[in-house]
Amino acid sequence: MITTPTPHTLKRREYLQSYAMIAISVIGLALLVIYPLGWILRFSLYRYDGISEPIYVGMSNFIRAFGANGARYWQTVRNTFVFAFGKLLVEIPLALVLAYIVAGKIKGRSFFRTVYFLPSMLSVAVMGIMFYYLFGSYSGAINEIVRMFGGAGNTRWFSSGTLAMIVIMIASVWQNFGINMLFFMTGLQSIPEELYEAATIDGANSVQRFFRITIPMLAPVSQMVIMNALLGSLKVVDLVLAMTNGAPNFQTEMMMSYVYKLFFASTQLGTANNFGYGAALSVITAVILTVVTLIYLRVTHKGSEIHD
Amino acid sequence: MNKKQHWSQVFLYLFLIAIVVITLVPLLYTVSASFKPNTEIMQGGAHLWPKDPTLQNYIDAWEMGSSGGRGVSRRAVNFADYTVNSLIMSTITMIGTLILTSMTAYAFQRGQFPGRQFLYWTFLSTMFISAGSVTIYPIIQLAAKVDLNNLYGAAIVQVFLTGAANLFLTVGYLRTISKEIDESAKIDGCSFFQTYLRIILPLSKPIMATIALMSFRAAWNAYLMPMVFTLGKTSQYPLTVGIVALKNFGGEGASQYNLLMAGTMFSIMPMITIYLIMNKYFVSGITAGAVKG
Repeated sequence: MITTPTPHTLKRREYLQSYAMIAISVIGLALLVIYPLGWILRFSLYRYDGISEPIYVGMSNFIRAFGANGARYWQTVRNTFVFAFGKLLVEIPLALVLAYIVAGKIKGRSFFRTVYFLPSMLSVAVMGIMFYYLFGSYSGAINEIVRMFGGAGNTRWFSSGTLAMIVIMIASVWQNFGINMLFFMTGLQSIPEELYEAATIDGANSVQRFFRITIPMLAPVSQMVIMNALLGSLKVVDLVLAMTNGAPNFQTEMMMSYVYKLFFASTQLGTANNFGYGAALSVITAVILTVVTLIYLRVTHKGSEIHD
Repeated sequence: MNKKQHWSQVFLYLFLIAIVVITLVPLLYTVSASFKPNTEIMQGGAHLWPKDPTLQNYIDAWEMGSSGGRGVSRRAVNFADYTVNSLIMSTITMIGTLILTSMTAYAFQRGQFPGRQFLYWTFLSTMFISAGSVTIYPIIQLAAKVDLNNLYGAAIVQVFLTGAANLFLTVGYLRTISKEIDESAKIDGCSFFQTYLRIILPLSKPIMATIALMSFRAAWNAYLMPMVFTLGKTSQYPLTVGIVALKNFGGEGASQYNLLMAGTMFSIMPMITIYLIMNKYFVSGITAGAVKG
């Protein structure tokens, strides 16, 4: 016999089914996102080596981080910002110019697009290894090519902090310009064709059209692209662990890889386990990233107001 | 076309082709090195074509490096295991992501339960909490308590940590499916869940295909999370972890260069193949996320 449920029980059944359907996601969120954040916040106030009882030490982990003993961490912060801004200075303009060309009516554009995006498909860690050997001191292809053109070709790329940093930037640009190009292309496709036609009639050449129409009209997409790329670069970790592991002498160590080592590879840092200090640096790192995000949103918001 | 335009066209193509060369050369060198005997690699060489091409590197890397050189321990290089592990992990992550994302997105987009807005915004805000990898330690501690500090744990964790972006994407897609379809299903006696299973899920195939590819790729390429989860368990290493371990802790380092390059090929060739076949899905998935994100 079929009973007709009342609207009330139907509604309740729908609630229950909805809750059941999101239950696993909510539990996952609580356990894997919210709980770990709480853990980090709490243990940043403790001295804890993972074995003996944690001891409450108040702000002393933070005092240490901001004191002379924290110099190494701040060095990694500086490295990270140098890396991020250095590579974005090349990556973003390159992506934008390529998007502008490839979004046009040029022959073979889908071939170019496919090739440029290809590196984004690959593992960051594995790519780091590819570049490590490409830039090898003795048998690396880059040095060989330099020799072919009559250079000395004996550059020891990974013995100098500056050169190693440049190689990391090159690898990162190589991997990411394609994806940013795609983002810019979606932005370009939303610019009305009539604007270009009108400008052409008014006698603007292609360079003028690029700077007077494309760049301003692309502002919202650019903000998103730069934001994504900036945060992604500040979070760099796999690339460095695979390629240089921070060498030489921490000159290519980044915020995230340093914090990772405090928790999992403290022997590489020559220190004993101190998860409380690691937690404090995690908090500081998260705050730095959030502040960068907020400043960025603030600045670009003002920027777009002006253009409107 | 006048002469000036003609030359600017030529210049444009030279530029595009130069970037193509720069993009492909590192990959071509890896391909070429994977076919070179180790001695040839060690001598160095900018020549792309191997003088004495061999498949031995692949065989050695695949069969536990049995004749791969004096310094190679049998356990250290087993790319057959690593490949299987990568496949297991990526498949679990992909299936988990598909089930969870589609169900959660449907409940949030179509459901009308109390607390819906609050929960949805909590999910989305996790996308903007810039904690990144700094919370790995508490996560692995938690996993260890339930014996999931292994390959399977790594697969599960990756489902949840990339969840918010996929959720956002799928909710956006479901919004484009007319609600009248749900209504008629309801009249036919479908419950909320049945509507999902019989109507919405089949209709969301395109976005599911994109999410399947993206989550598989993310897991296949992941390094830090699986590395921490399989720490000290060499037999559970996925490819990325195995390759980096071979480079960093391989003992004789460069003497295993040939195995390393063959191993790298095991990691990148499947991705390149999938990409070339299904490149439309990847591109649409990434750009859709960009526009709506």
